[in-house]
Amino acid sequence: MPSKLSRRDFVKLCAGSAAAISLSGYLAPFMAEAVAAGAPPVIWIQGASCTGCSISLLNTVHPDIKDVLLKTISVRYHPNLSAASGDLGLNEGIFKTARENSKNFYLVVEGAVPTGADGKYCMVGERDGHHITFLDLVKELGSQAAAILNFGTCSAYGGLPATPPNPTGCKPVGDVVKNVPIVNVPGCPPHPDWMVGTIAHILLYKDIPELDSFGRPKMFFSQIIHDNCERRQYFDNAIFAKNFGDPGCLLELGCKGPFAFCDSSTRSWNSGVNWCIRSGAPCLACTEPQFPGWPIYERMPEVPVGPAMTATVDQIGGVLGAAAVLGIGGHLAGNVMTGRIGGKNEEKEGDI
Amino acid sequence: MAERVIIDPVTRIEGHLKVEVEVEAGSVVNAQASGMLFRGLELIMRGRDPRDAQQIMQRVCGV
Repeated sequence: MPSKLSRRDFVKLCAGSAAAISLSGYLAPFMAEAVAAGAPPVIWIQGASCTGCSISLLNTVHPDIKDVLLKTISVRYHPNLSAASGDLGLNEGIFKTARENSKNFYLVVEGAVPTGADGKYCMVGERDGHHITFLDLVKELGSQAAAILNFGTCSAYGGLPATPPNPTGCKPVGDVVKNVPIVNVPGCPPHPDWMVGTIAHILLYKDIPELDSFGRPKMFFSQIIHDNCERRQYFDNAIFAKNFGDPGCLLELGCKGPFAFCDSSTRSWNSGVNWCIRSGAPCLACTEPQFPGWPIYERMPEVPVGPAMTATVDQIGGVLGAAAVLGIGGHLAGNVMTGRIGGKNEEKEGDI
Repeated sequence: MAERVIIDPVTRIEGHLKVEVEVEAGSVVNAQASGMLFRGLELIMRGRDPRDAQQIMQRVCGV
């Protein structure tokens, strides 16, 4: 059996993101030990979601996802995986588990919470002949949970369904359930390592990991894509791609890398095979609260950085982290002033 | 007399599905399936840059 893994080593391991090492494969024996010793069960529910986060989790290949779900995470209910459906799934899988483990289970929420029309835009089942709305389910289970893990940008920040005009009044889970510890693991979808790593931290140390100001685990979300981008040299040399497939920094094609906090650039996806920018796609900043409220393929707006250096061109909604805005704004404004980034007219040249 | 069987939620599928079946003498005589989630992605797309559609609409289903 594995020996103890200190929290410091754990965080270092998660943040290290060595592509050759499967994080979940390394953590599995430690988690299996924690579950065998009676770690709290996990209930996984879905609201206004696309199931993409669950599918991303299934991309955990070492070890087999079956082992992760059954041996290393004690999942009692999952809408896509549970054999039980109907009353059996709801009563045995969800409500019985919650009742028997009050304040001692973890609730994983995937998908935003529609609050329009009293929550009728998303129904998750029936109890005593009445429909249960996802809004009521999240409130009921959330208040009984030891902690809520929001997997995906939808449950963390509203995400896609909450994009203006937000037809169904979708809200993040944190706006609906108060006074329960919440961990946000955003991403559209999140990397499997972020999800498994967050659950592992909680199971092993019975405590939520250290979070940033947006409620994200710092071990995965403290790097800015732009700072670790393999196309960064192009940016520094003012070589900008004007069309998809061109070499060059993707800023002019709408890359939001300078706003995006996550470690995709060093961790890579599909077991370390590739990631967004290496495949030629601009970063969408899918881990950020504003996603996808901005124009996706327009150059990101500059941000005012001071009376003498105002470089604002466009307006976007939402509020960015003050530190990020200042840092990035200054960085970009400096480049505008030295002529590295062209003005608005030049930027439009290669546009459709 | 038909017996009404309701399965809600149906698991192992993507999304929220409810199935109502009426059974009479061992045969299904009527059945209804309902999708129980509405997000209005078409309404979100209205007024946006057409190029955004590939990123917005692909997220209808992540399976």
